Amino acid sequence: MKADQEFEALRRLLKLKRHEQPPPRFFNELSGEIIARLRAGSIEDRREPMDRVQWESPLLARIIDLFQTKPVFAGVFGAAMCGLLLAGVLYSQKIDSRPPTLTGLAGPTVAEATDTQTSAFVGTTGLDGKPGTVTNSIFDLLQPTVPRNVAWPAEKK
Amino acid sequence: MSEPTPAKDNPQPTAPEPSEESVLVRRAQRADLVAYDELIRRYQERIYATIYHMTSNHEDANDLVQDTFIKAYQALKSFTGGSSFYTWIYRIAVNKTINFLKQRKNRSHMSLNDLDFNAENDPDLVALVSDKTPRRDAGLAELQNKLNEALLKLSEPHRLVVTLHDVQGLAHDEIAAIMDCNIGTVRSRLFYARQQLQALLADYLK
Repeated sequence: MKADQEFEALRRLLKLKRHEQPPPRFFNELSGEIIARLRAGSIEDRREPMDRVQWESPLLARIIDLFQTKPVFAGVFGAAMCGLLLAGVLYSQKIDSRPPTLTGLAGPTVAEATDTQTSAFVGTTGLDGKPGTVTNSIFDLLQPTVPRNVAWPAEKK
Repeated sequence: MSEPTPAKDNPQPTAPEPSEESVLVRRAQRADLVAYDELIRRYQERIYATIYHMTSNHEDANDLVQDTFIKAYQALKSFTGGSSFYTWIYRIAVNKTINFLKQRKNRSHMSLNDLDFNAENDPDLVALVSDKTPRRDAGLAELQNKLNEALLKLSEPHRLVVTLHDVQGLAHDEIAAIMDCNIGTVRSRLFYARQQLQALLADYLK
């Protein structure tokens, strides 16, 4: 009550706003214009992209709104994205510096292994049993079958 | 702080019967444009007034009120009846207007509506212009200009609270529902906004 008395003069002045009226017949025509816009064409196509975002993804709309009101966030976000992209490019270059080589079942030698930094599988022993050899594929881990001479017993006559 | 004075000082009628309204909403949800036209006619004056008092620009208010009703129609299927249609559409109008004002920022210019005939006969306004104002030469048009300029200096949430409460006569709880905040926030914003306006319009309120 006290607050209302304190602002009584202001409230009386604000009453002036209630006397501001749009041009005559404005309200008679307004609903007709809206309905005509609704009837004309596909409403879906008339939607502004931001309106669609706002209804379909409110979180994204909030982020965009934040960027619009505080451009510094947009700058920070852009810088972070550029940093991530750069880091990704550098990392992929490091990974792809040498494509993995297919080697025979014996696998690369120790000398090759020291060159091959990016081999997929580095074991303590190679397929040939030598320590320190490098395998490039999971299939290299399979033991090769070595043919053996078999002596059949002689037939009894 | 009290609720706004209802009867003669409150220019806005209360919301219509919910059942009648919900029938219209259900019909509009089934793409019945005749029902939606009826809903527009019910709320257009209040929605327009809110937007106009926020923007102080008739052309902008006209565009925004149309966009509000079109957007509401598009989103009508998502209206579940958790709040009244009246609150729901007010919320759309308010969000749309605040987004618009944020984008417009420093490019605001006023395009004020004319005062109606009754303004000259309103005893409160006559008293303000002739008796209590030290600047007795100030006419209603000048007062209207100064008042709108002062309102535009408030932040959007503060302007909105003053508009909804002191101009449109909505109760604190209705404003809280529209602004999606608690009643205490509405009261404190109203107090702060009035203080600011009082300072800005001191010459016209002595």
